[in-house]
Amino acid sequence: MRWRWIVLTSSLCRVALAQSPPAAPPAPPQPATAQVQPPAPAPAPAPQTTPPPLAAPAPQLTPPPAAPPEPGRKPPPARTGFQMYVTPVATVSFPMGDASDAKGDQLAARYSWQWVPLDVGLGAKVLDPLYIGAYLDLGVGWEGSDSKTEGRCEAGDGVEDDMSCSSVTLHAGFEAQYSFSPAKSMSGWVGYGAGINMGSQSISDAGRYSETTTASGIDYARVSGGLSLRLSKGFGLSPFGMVTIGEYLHTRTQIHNITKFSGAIDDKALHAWLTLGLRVVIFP
Amino acid sequence: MSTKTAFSCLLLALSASPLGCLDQQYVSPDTVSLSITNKDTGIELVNRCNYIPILLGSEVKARYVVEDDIKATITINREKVIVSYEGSDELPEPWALSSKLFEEEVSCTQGQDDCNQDPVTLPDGFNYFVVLKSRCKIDVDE
Repeated sequence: MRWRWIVLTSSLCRVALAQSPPAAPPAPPQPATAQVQPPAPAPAPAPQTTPPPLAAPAPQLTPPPAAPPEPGRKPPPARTGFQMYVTPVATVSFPMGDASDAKGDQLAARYSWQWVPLDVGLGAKVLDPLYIGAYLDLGVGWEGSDSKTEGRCEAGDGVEDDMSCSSVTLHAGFEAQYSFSPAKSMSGWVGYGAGINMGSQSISDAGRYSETTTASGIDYARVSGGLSLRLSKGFGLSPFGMVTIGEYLHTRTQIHNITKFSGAIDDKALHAWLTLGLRVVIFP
Repeated sequence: MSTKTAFSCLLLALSASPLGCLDQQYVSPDTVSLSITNKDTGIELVNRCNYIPILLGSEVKARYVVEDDIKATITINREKVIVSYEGSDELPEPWALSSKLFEEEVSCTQGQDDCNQDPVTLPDGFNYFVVLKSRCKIDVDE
């Protein structure tokens, strides 16, 4: 029953299309009625009970030749060559694991979650599905959850006691990304990278006292994945998630901008950053 | 409480708030001084003041010449203050105290029964008084 209704409808449409040639000119007064007219031949579809002539082409759910497919909806072809991405302020990073193996020295105790206003990748698609490039990302945040530091940082913000605390993190290195369907408008991808890292925390009291500790080391794995939305040949978006696993190897402490210690970290430990965000991809 | 009383309290609180600011002090980190004195001559060979760092993972390390080849190194972090030596065969083991001790006014002498330090016998040839003291004044160039 249902298919018959579809056949009938499609027949009606075909008839309407066929019988409504540039009939527009003759119907200046009331286009509405002009359109109502076509149904008049509706009785014609009565023969539709004899499906053969019209029903045969019925399975054509494909649009009539009169309406060619819109070129803009086709995904851009897969390509090789230059590609880059940036994150337009829409990325955050969360600390996990330990900054060092010393008691209570968790990464989250040193650094708060980070807002990543800068995350840039520059490289090239060497094959349709394979991107290789360099990355640099910079995060900013507040002091971590360590209660002693928090206590100092929140001690006051008056004129006499103008504490400010902050943290900065940086990652740089090289990465590769593999796209599962590089020619489609929507494609999943996975990536792996490695490089160097840096984390810095600061406390300052309006110039009376300032202390900065910077830890630096290696990111052994920057495992990422996301969805690439290829909106045009030159522009795409990519929501993504990433876990960066690294280790701090070196530390430096400055008080009043004078280095008080600079050397290797004895008790090393692994840490991780979980990053979630949205990238803008140029030449996806 | 009537509206009038509440309003009066509010006014009082507002007028008193600047006084509160006057009492407020900036957050000053603790300090510890290392003093090394020759027992025989009574001459103080080293007297230097250092901050006890505030941040997790921070460390302060300084090395001072005591006499001839003998050097003393003080390592300070939020957990511990450690004094170690080098340059001679007759030197004591590194001396470690909790940084927490120096939140209060305190003076600790190595090898003596104070500051909850572990009992230690100093080598005979070690002819120095080594003292760690809290609340010292940092020199500008330190």
